[in-house]
Amino acid sequence: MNGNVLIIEDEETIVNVLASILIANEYIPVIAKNGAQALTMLRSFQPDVILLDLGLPDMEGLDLLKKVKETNLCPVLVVSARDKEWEKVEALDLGADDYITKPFGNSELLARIRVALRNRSENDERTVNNRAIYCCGKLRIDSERHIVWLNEERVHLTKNEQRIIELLSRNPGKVLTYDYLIKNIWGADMQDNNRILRVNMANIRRKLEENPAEPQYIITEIGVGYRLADESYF
Amino acid sequence: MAEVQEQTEMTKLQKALYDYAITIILLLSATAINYLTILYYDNAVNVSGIYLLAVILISLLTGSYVWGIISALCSVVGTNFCFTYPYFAIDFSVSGYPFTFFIMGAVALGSCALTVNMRKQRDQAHQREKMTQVINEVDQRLLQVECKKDIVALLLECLYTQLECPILYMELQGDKLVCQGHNGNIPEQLESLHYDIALQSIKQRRIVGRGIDEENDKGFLSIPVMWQERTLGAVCVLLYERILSPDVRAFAQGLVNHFAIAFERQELSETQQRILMEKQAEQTRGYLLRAISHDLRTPLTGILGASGSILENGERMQSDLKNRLIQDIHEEARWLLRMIENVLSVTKIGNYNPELKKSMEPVEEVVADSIVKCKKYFPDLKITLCLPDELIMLPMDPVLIRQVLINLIDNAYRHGNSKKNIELMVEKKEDFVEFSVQDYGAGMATEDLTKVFSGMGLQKRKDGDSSRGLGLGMSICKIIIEAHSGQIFAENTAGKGLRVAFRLPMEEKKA
Repeated sequence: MNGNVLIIEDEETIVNVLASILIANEYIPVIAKNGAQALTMLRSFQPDVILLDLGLPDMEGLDLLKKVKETNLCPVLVVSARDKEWEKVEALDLGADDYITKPFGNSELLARIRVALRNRSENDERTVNNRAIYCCGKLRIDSERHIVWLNEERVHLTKNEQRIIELLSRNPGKVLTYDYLIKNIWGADMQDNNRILRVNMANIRRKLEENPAEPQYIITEIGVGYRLADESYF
Repeated sequence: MAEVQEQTEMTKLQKALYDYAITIILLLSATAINYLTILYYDNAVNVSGIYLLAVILISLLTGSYVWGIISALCSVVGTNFCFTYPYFAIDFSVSGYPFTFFIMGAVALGSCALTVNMRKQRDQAHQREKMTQVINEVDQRLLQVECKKDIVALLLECLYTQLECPILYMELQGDKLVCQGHNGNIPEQLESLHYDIALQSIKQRRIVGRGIDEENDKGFLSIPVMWQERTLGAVCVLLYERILSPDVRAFAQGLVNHFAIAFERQELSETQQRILMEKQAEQTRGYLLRAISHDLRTPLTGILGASGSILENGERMQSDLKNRLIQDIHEEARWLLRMIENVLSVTKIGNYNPELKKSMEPVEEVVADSIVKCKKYFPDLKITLCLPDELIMLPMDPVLIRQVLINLIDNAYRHGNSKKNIELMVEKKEDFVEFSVQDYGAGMATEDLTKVFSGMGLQKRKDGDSSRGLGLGMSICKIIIEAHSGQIFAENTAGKGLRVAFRLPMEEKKA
């Protein structure tokens, strides 16, 4: 068995679909139909991943997320509607590990769960050395020694570009919001420097991506943030 | 302003000197003429007549009572002193003298009154002419004004040059006054009394002020901007120590009234425009609803039919047929999903959210993400991207622009029957960026090129392909692009196929 998944969702059809996909892929699904149920389940049943739908009948999804994150280290995957970019950003800022937009494909869902589980096991084992090196396709980033290789060749990045790519590489497969990146690179005072971040990202993309039409490594999540591609997506 | 005051002081002094000189010269020459007539005719018959003439002339030329009376007095005394017996001595004992004195005084007063009146009338006419000129000029300029802001600016400029005082324009919003602009030096913080005066003038619909008639170093005047039953706001004049005559005040109110008419006209045309826009939006909504119900009903029918027949005859069905039906359901559901995303994006615009939430976004990210999304929908999509090297940041709602790009690519892919790669091109022009999607298909009937965005009465494609979803997707593109103050158009490119392009402005239009 791959792990326990707590599904917090009130729509019967979606629950059925999720459960069948998970069982077919050797996960154990447990279902909570509302927020109150979810909180009790969380204590009795130790999930490895939580799938949280933000539209719940008895409480605000974001409030529940806050409560879960206060007591639990378990990764949370938020399920959100496609046209609510602000909700995704808020969920990520509240500590959600990733989000997936409704409706989603089976493979997309499974990939997200795999990433969340892997990040969790790495957190548990504290394998710092492993985490310091990121590998995906022809890209290799060593955030301990601050070196980036592409096709076995060193890539020269400016100091800020280096810091951005390292921050992303320490969270492979995870979306980092614009705000999070800005705060961590330039500090909290630089709130509005969206433009500088975008320009830096464009420069990094020019140095790392072969085909700008289909970025391989740096994935843009429009209106939310950036994500560094992860091997388990492919 | 200080300069102007100095000037008027200068001319006052000059005028006094001039009047003084005229009085002296005329009186002396009258005396001299009297001597000559006495020497020549040897009688004093003409003495008082000549003096009278001098007094009238002095009154006419100076236009002042003071000099007229002084000269009358001098004439009486002069006649008495020089030309009546005893010569060179004052003697009022001659009979009838008080009467002569009285006549002379009355003549002086009368002629002065006449000339002063005449002068006043001339000045008034002059001023009226000037005011008419100013008002004409204002009317002329008001014709060229396009928005309310310009009217306010013109109002402030005109009143400032006419009254030579700092001017504020305050508008009534709810029951609070909000300053909309000013001209000249005004203090950073207005006193609450100023607001009270302005509010009072708005409420009573007349000029209200402090220090209008008497000097007051904090003189303040408020002129209401009003028409019919409406009062829009007030023009406030910081007088400091100046006094505005009733004439000037009336003139100022007249000028302000002209601006009130302009404001009214502006409001009317804005209302008209809004109604027109609402009507258009209503039409688009109506069309969208029709298109949605048409475009959604077809795939839903397919899904219902296919799933129904699997449920009913599933066991007896051949497995490849069953798979094909399931495949159909899947395809139709995905199609529905794309359409619903389109419809959802429109709810972000329109009446619910008149202001788009725009941010500066790099064009390349939005374009690349659209292509990634399209490849997810159509794995065999072949597309060539042509992007400028330079990083372009544009103000936009990135999710909506991505939706437009997806629709255009989707369109080129499904309806274009493209023989070569679809081309997506981004070009930076002077003050806009042009995005275009070119297919290598059969193109489109010329009469459909404009209709395709309104979705009305579309012809079938030349190649007989169905136009399913075309109208809905394209009209949504149009709505989104227009909400970004951009343009969208379609054209047939010779030797290629259909090209659909949209332009987004580089900078946000200043409202």
